[in-house]
This record gives sequence, structure tokens and C-alpha cells, in this order.
Amino acid sequence: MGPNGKVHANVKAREIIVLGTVHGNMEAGDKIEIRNEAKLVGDLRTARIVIEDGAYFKGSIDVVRAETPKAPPAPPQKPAPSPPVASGVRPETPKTAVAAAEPKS
Amino acid sequence: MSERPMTHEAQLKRSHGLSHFVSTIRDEAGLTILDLGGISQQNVNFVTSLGHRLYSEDFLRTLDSLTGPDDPPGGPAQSAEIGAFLQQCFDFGPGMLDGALVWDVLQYISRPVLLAAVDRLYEILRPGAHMFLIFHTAERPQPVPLYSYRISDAETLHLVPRGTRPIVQCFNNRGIERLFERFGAVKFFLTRDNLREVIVKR
Repeated sequence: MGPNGKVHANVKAREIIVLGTVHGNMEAGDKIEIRNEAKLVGDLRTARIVIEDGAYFKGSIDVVRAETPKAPPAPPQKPAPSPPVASGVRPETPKTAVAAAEPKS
Repeated sequence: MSERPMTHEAQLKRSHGLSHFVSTIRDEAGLTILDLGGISQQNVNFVTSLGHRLYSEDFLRTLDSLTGPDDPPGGPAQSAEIGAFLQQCFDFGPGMLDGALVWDVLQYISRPVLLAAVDRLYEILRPGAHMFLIFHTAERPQPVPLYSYRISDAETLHLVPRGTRPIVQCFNNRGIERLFERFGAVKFFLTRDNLREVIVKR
């Protein structure tokens, strides 16, 4: 919602960014962002919220913590057979690990 | 004990009053907490991280919006306007709130608005709920630094300056006790600055 926007309605979306004026409740699956010039009157329900200094807000805030899904029980682990390594030959290092360890120039 | 002067710079302040307030809302999730200091990221993060719902109200901004040029300092003078102000700030049912961060806002309002606001707080807080308040130690009405009080952690406040504002009401400890005489208990916390921290139990 842009800085000149005026909304009198409830809003539901994945992500909501407010710069203008909103009178209504808002529900976001992911994030609500209230910028410093925003005026917002209503109740908010969201997973995350970002509020800039200077914003006006009147209402309630419910931050809904995402529930961690229960992982299925892990099958019993069998000891993996060690690959045969020839004497004097170093096992190959994964390239991603090498790239992550290199300092950026 | 030497007193630290109030400054116009942001500062961190160890707060035993805040620590006590947090201890009253920490053990139970799903509470409803009112913050009268206006919205801030830190306070939202802190209160919601405890599993609570936060109601945010910018008490002084609402007061200023309803105060006319002919009104005395500290808010509207007519009872109908005072009622409208309270309706805007405290639009809650009886016993609906489990705690309130009042900060220092009660010192910036006139006596009639103050008494009506305290009565309203008594109605909307559930029995046993706590309020955290701050009072400047100034002994006469005068401009004082206006802060946005932000919770850094359970025992630390971040005081962010917002200019100055004249206080209208001055209190000593006895005056504060009298103001909240309907409430269950009033507890004072000594500080090294010019701010007096108070916990009031409904």
C-alpha cells in the first residue's frame, strides 16, 4: 500500500507492506511491514513483523509462531560400509566446501 | 548515591521495575498486554516472544489529537471530550488486560484526565494484573526529556529521546500511593537517575 493509499478494509496476504493509511485488520502468512510514514488502525496477525520508527499503530499484534512439524521417527541407522581407500590417495573434498572456505577477493 | 542527570541522548537503563513486571507475565503464555508508549519493534518483539498479544496505543499522540488550542495543558477540559479520549485509548472490556506498560504518560495529563484514566485502568485490568509506571522526580511542572521506552531485555530499557514535554502532574511517593489507593499494592524501585519506577498491582 503506497504512501498516498487509504484503505478501509481487512487485508489478507502472504506479505503486506504499508506506507499509507489503513483502517482494518490485517493477516499475513509471512510478514507485515509498517513503514515510518504509515498509519494503521486495526488488529494484526502475522508470522513476522517489521516496524519502522515513526509509524503510527493502534491495535493488537499477534505473532503466530510457525509450528515445527514433527519429524517421523528416523529408521535405525546401519553402519555404512567404508569405501575402500587406496593407500596414499586422499579422499576428494566436496567443491562446495572448498568454495565456502575460500576468502572473497 | 549520586544521581545521573537526564540527557537528550539515547541511553540504556537497568530497570528493576521492568524486571519485576516481566516476572509477573513470564510464566504464562497467551496474556494480553497493553503498551501506552506507542509502537516499537523492540517492545513488540519482547512481548510477543513471551507468547502474548500486545495492544499498542500512542497515548500522548491521541491526547494531542483531541486537545484543542483553548484547552489547558494536559488534555481536554470538558467531560465529554475526556470520555472520548478514554474511549479511544482504553477501548477494552472489564478485566480484559493482564498487564500494562504505562511508562510516564500519566504525568503529562491534567488532573481530571488523570483521575479518569486511573479509574479506567482499574476497570480494564483483571484482578492481580500489574502495571509498570515511571515518574519523573521533578517537584514542579516543567519541561522534561520525553523518551520512547523500549525493552532491550527483561531488565534493560533503551531510552530513545523524543524531545521535551512539560509535565503537568508532580508526585512524591505518598501522592502516587494515594493515586492508586483503589489498587491492591504499590511498589517503588530506587533508581540512580531522575526517574522513579513503580509497579502497581490491581
